[in-house]
Amino acid sequence: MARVGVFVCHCGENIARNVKVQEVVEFSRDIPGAAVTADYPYLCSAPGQQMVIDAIEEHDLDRVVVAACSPQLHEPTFRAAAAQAGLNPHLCEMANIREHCSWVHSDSDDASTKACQTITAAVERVKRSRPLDPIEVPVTKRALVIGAGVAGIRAALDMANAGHPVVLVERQPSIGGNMSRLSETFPTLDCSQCILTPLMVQVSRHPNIELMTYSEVEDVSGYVGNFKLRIRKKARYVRAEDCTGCGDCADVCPEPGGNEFDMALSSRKAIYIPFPQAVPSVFTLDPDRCLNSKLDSPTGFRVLACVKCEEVCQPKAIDFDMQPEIVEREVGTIVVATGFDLNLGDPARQLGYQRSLDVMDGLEFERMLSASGPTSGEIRRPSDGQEPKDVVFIQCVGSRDPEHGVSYCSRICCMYTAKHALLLKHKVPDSQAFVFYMDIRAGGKGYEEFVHRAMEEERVMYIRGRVSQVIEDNGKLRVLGVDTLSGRPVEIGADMVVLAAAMGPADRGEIASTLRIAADTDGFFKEAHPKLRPVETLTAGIFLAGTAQAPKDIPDTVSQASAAASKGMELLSQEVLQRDPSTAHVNDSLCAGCFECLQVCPYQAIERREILDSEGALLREVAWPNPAMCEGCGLCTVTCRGGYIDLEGYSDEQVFAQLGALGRPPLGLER
Amino acid sequence: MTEANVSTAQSSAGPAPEDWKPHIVALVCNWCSYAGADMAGTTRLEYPSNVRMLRFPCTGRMSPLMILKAFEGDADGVLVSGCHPGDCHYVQGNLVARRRFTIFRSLMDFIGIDLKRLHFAWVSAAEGHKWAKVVGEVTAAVQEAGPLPGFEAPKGWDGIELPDMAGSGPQELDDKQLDAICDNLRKAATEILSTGRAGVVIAYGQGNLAGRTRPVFITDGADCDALVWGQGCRNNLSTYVASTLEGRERVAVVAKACDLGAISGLIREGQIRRDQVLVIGVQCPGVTDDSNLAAKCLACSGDPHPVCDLVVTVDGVQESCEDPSQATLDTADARDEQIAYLESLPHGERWKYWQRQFARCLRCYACRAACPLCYCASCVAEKHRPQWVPTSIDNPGNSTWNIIRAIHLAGRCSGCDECARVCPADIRLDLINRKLALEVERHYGKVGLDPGEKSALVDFRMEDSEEFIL
Amino acid sequence: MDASWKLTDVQLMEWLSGLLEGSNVVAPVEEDGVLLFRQIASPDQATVTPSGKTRWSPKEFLFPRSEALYRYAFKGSTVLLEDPSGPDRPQVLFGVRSCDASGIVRLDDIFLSGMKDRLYAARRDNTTIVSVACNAADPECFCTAVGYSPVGEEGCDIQLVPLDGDWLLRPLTEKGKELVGEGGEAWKQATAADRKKIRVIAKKVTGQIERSPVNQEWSQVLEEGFEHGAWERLAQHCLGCSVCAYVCPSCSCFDMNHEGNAWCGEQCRSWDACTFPLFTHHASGHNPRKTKQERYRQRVLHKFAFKEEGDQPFRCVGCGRCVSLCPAGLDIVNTVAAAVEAIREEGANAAR
Repeated sequence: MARVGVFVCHCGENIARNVKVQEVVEFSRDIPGAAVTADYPYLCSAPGQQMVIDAIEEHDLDRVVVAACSPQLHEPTFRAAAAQAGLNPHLCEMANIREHCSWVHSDSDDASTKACQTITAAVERVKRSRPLDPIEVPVTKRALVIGAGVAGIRAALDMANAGHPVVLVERQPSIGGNMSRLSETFPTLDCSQCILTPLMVQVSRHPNIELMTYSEVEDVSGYVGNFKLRIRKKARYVRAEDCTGCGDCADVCPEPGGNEFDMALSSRKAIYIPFPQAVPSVFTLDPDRCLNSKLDSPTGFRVLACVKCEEVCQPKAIDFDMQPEIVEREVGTIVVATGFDLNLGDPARQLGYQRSLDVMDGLEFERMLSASGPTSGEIRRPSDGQEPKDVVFIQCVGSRDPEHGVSYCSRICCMYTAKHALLLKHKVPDSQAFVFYMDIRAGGKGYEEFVHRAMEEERVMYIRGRVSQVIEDNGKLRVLGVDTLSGRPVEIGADMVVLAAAMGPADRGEIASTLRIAADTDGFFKEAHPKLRPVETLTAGIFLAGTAQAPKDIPDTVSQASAAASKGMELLSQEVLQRDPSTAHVNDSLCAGCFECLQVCPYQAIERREILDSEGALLREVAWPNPAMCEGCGLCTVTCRGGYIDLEGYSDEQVFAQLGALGRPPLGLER
Repeated sequence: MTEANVSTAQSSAGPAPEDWKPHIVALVCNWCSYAGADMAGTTRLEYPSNVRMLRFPCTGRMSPLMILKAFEGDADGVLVSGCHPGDCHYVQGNLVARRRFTIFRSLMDFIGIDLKRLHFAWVSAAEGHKWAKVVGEVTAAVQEAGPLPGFEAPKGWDGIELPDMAGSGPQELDDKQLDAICDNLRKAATEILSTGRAGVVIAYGQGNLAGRTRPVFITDGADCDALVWGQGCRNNLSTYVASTLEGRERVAVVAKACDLGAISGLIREGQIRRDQVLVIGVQCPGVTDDSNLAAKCLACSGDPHPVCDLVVTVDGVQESCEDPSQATLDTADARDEQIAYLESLPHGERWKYWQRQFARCLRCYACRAACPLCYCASCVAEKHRPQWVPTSIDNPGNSTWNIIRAIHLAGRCSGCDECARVCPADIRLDLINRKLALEVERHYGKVGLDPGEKSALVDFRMEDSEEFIL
Repeated sequence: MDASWKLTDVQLMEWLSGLLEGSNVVAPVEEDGVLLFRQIASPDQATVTPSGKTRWSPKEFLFPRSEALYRYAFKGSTVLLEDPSGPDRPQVLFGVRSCDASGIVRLDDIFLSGMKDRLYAARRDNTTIVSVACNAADPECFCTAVGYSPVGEEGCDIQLVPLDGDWLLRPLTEKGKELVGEGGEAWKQATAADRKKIRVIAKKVTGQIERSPVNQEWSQVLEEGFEHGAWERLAQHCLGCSVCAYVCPSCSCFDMNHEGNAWCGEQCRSWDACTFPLFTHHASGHNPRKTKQERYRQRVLHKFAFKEEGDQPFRCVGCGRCVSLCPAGLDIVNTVAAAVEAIREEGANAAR
């Protein structure tokens, strides 16, 4: 017979006010298996814990139930206390009689009855608990960073500087991400590329960083400390080790088209380098644009019509036969920094985007402002190349608009719009900037002051209200809106309109499903806890950095990247990892081998194992959940029709015993 | 426990006293709803105290049987609550669970559990208010539904007359035609055994009672005369395929169209490989249930399905090689009207209808033994720690068994009706199976013959229906 | 022969009605198209016919499918034990076929010989059996082939014999006489001619049963051929359910389980069957009867062999229910005949 100690906490008045603690203690004495019952004003206090420890030792208890607050708060506390007294921590159970009883039921009889039954269920459960030891898994001392924008770069550098090997994978030909597109950054107005490119160069030269650009993570298997990766290096058709970046090839390439780095405001050839400071400084041949690919041959480049680049390349770096390469790596931790895209849906089109050349999004305007951009930093109307005088900036295009766009605030638009207006005034002093806004959100160091500078020093006209329509009218744009402060309709004739479109996640679910991490309804990766675990995912060993998790500005992105890197390093600095032992187990002598468990497992933790006879012939295949990968969700447990899978810590026996205790109490046995 | 004990040990039955308060068990996930309830506490929101909570790691850990257990433990209502879709701590646990709950809920409804007693909700860790509101609503609904009706045979109840099943069945075959089919079948079997295409032919032999057959296992071509064909060929022989395979490379099995779904299910679930079975499809005159055409035959054409390896008809034997993944089975069913009629009755009547049948259940497990897809080495009904299915052969235990059997077949049952055929107590298991098949089809699409397809209840889609979830 | 009566249908029903006043009466009742023994509240619920069987035997009214052996509840630190209550009113099993009445006597052999089963004995003492002789055989019937009779008196306290629309009522035991008492007011005494009809019926029904008889000597043959290879083949299509055992009037196996919750529980005895693998499964994992063939052989031999004395009746009473209800079409009489033939032809030790 188990010897269970039941300890009831008063939590000062918090529990004792509504739960009749003495009656509950009396009742608990009669619960089968209860060897000791006691109460205390604050069990979580040091003397309270000591009382539990002493009781375990004095009365030779082998199980403990602490009836107090939510296990989410103090389960670790009391489990540690139990461990201190020599009990396995999993033999300590909590009954929540505060959040679920005293705080929500003012009738003290009802609250007390519920408390009694809750404690009985906890006793019934703990009687069937088994001592569990943490699972230890070795750690592969290498990290993967997905995405090499500023977040990925910072995270990679932090870990590499600390001495950990890092694999940095970027899908584009160059690292740098969205930040490399920006002109100046708010609120200091320092040049974005000037502060970013040194980091990019550091990455390329770092001995601990293996940089894979133009590559994508195709498959991730394994588990925390032991992820196995398959990375697809796309064919550049240019041998990186031979390319000098001279650009002779691009000079002769006959096939121009829009340069996506410049938001198609400039052009590039089929063989190209996205921007002058690109890292690596290696040309890439775009198979979708190269004349040869238009031959629509199944073998692609092998049927050649144009070989101008190959002819002109001195180091003979062009290789039309290049094939994509699959690289396999093993890592212990993963930082996901896949960044954002602008969300240019219906709300933007409503305001003339894509209908009028002179309606542009924020990133296009950034490129226009950039000294290295398509206009070398001059502001020109895309339609006629004239300098615009009246420019209307519209904020919250798609953001904070659950009906047409997204419900969240994109956080950076207020600031960059102020920056845009201010830079416009710097570059075109006789221009007038108008900003339509809903609210000004300028929470950040020096942010509020920056907006005021735009308003007061640069005389940017801020109009509180929304724009309903932008109409192209005789070379001008008529912006129709309403000023909600005066309550009057507003009409502005503008030369140019810039839309602060909502930020959305760049990953459209591919990375989420490859890594099997959760995303919220907007597609941003979900953190393990919004407050306390903001850079972790719910999959152990995978961390988040930057705008892939939620809209944020550069300082926040970089901070989060460093945080993610430090979480990764926390992992990499350990020889073995301890995992929660609440995992699934299969009775392989009975497993029927239907493998439906494998089909429902979110973590691919279930493996096929062969059962052989004494001569080595295959008898059958059975399921085996790898404890190092199992997260303990219990999906497989329920899927197994024969009940051959059970979950440690939430076993069928425990659940059934609790259900037995939680039914309507028999007459005469009520509290 | 036996009924007698349940009723004496637990609160006495009878009309609800005026001060009756419902007893509700809530199964909640640790990460969202438990934390949401914590939040309600932290916010000091008052809500009814009738709810007893049981914490799980995930809604995916909650077996529908645990809901049933709660009802058996005299709960008047059950609330199941977890994370909103997309919020699951385990990525997809709640999405798989949602399908299980959808089907389980429709089964409970069908057997007469008033849905005012069974509620599902998504409550996040931040939704303390929602938790309090949900508990309030659920308590009010269960209060309205009253005490749970007993798991017991109805007394002094006249029963329900279900509408007749209509349907003409397959094309009638005269004795000459049946003899021709039988001759062709014998020829095919002889050929298979003599050429070694399979080591054994599982077929029908003459039974001892008039109009009955029994399974025969023919290994010698010379014995093929023992093979018969006719309306007495009722068994689904695919039940025998896996056991007959022991020590053999390949077995041939005679299959009616209604038997094929089971073969494809066995392949899908890894019990046999496609290359281990040679399927002999035979033109079927429909089988009789003593003198009447069996219910499953009423809407069936009887034609052999082209996905079989061999097709035997009056005209001869043909090889066939159609791609099974393209094939579906005709699901017109004569029983649907009976199901609709039952569903038109109040829950109390349905409860009596099924409790009276479950009272007859002897727990002989013939339904399980005859089912080709009940292949577990050891059934959950035999599990003792914990006791999943009460061993006592009475209404609580029998209800558990019949419900768990139905749930284990949901999304998998091929509709061969073997369970209902073999039931000595004439429990209409076929109605339950058919009802669940209709539900699965309505929500998640049809189960075809493609063994590569995923079963509906191990799959999920983000956009799966969930209109019943609070 | 003591007094026997000839009753009309109406008189029979009146008598049945009277029985209900002092006893719980269990009689064949049609429920959802299935004929079953059920406790009745009024005579019109009963379906008493000159021939035809219920789907399964009435044994559950003496040997319930499940019953608590004892109960317990926790009260404070003590455990309260409680015996289940015994029968409160006398019970009459009405309309039992001869085969089923014999089946009850076979159960008595198990539960009342040697160490008496307390719960069974209490019910048995409390029960009076009113049987009905058969004037026609069902297709599966074979009582005469295994040494029983459609008009058999074994186990019957009162026998009813159908006489072309009327009923011959014969009290056969003291218990029976007590139940009948002086008879009804207008009951006619039966004549010798009426009683003679019993033999006529027996002959007629025996003629309807076409099975060849199972000989008593076969028991010995079956036991000698226990390891014979034929068993493998004979039970190849057995599915391993327990329809045969649960519908059988004489199968008596049970299992005991403990079930309970945090507050209370019981030791529960339920029907079990030798055809289930778990029946002989040891805690060690070993199972002495690990194949379905071994288990089916056990059931057949338990009916037809394994006798303490050579002249004991077969434990199969020939009702034929296991034949008509077997999902796999197994036929116990054919199996016995085939096994005996194989053992005799090939020798008792012929390899599997």
